[in-house]
Amino acid sequence: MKWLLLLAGIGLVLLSFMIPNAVGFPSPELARIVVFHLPCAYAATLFAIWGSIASVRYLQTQNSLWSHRATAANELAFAFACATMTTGILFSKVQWGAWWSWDVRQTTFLIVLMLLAANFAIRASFEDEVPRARATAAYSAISLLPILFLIFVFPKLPQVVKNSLHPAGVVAKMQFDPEYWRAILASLTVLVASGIWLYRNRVKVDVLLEKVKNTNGNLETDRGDSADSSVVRPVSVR
Amino acid sequence: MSSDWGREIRAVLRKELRSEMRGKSAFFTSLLLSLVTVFVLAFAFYGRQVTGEGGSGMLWAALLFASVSTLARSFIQEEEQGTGDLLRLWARPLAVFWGKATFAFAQMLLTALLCSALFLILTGLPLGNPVLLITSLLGGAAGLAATVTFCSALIAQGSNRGSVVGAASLPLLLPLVALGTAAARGAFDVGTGEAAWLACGGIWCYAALTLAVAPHLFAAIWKER
Repeated sequence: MKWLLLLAGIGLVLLSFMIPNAVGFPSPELARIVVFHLPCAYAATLFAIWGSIASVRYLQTQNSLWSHRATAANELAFAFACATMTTGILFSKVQWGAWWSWDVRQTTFLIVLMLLAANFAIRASFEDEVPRARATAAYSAISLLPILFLIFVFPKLPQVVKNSLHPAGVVAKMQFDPEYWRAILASLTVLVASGIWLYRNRVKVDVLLEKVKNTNGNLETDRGDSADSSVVRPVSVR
Repeated sequence: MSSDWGREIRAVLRKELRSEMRGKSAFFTSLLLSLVTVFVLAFAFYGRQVTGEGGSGMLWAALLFASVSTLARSFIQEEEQGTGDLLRLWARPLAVFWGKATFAFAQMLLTALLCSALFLILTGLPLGNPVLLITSLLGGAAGLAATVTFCSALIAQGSNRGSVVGAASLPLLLPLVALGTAAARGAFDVGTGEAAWLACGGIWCYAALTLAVAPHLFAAIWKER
């Protein structure tokens, strides 16, 4: 699978150089970064939403598998959001003349990135597995509301759209060139497929680590004829 | 709401009020922090009249830092004093959350109103629409109280609580602050009144959604520690 994804990735890079220059941009030949930027944003949103759903399921069922799924999805959402920000900043510098333009979508996506990063801060502050999983799941679940608001509602408000540097409704109105659309869809497919492959492997690793941890715990307590190490009593010597 | 729920919430609220009246530290800390934030940001306008745009940002930055630094103590204090388990035995999770959040709301509203009054006196900024400012502060205080109380409960048993509560609650509060700043701009006669009222509506929606979701998530993490 990984070789197939690698080949598809190479094909995608080649495809991004083969499509014609985009019209209507100050630097048309460099606008092709959109082929990666847009799908990364979609993939980040998909994984963030799935991470929140998995978190809610964990809080409902207390099944650790959902916690592993939520962790993997949130990590991938963060990785894709970082890729979106990086490609967006490069695009901003080339097309709008500044690394950071305080564009509405740029700013709201930065807040989304902060929300995803905060999950790692919470995760790092807990030693024990169960309280850690509960706290991160609850945070991931509540952060779905601002994530949806920041991605789907706020940037589309009429008074916000008119001040945004991002062209309004390009995706909804299918304003891209058909060749661009094909490249964007191919990129989205490859990125989401790679994401799913990484997600499945990440969940598998977490499940195996949990099994190993539980097995080690059993080995320590089931020592047969050796003394139980879990109980230590002070003995007075006279 | 049955009388049992009401009694439990009132009891938690009374407990919070009594512990605050003993020390009065949280209220004075939040007021002082918000005023210091206003002073620090006002240095940027030294010798010049504060504009409506700058003033709205200063006011909401002050309220944001005041809320995060003082309301975050809510659940952390319970764990530090060892009273968290007693609270778990004594009241249902939803009652604990609503009691704590109601107290945090009252505290935040008082801080917001006092801070805004002092802010207007200090900056001399003309207040064009006081109703809009008070309505947005009411919704904002509810949103700040609900979010920070929830984050405080999440982090209460972790390490580096003080800093992690800030890291967790600030990104959640940024949309609220953005809406609050837009509403305050309208109150200071900058921009259109329609956009400001829309932002004010957004603040109330944000607070309502947080208050609808947070208690249930809190119940899921609080009951089985």
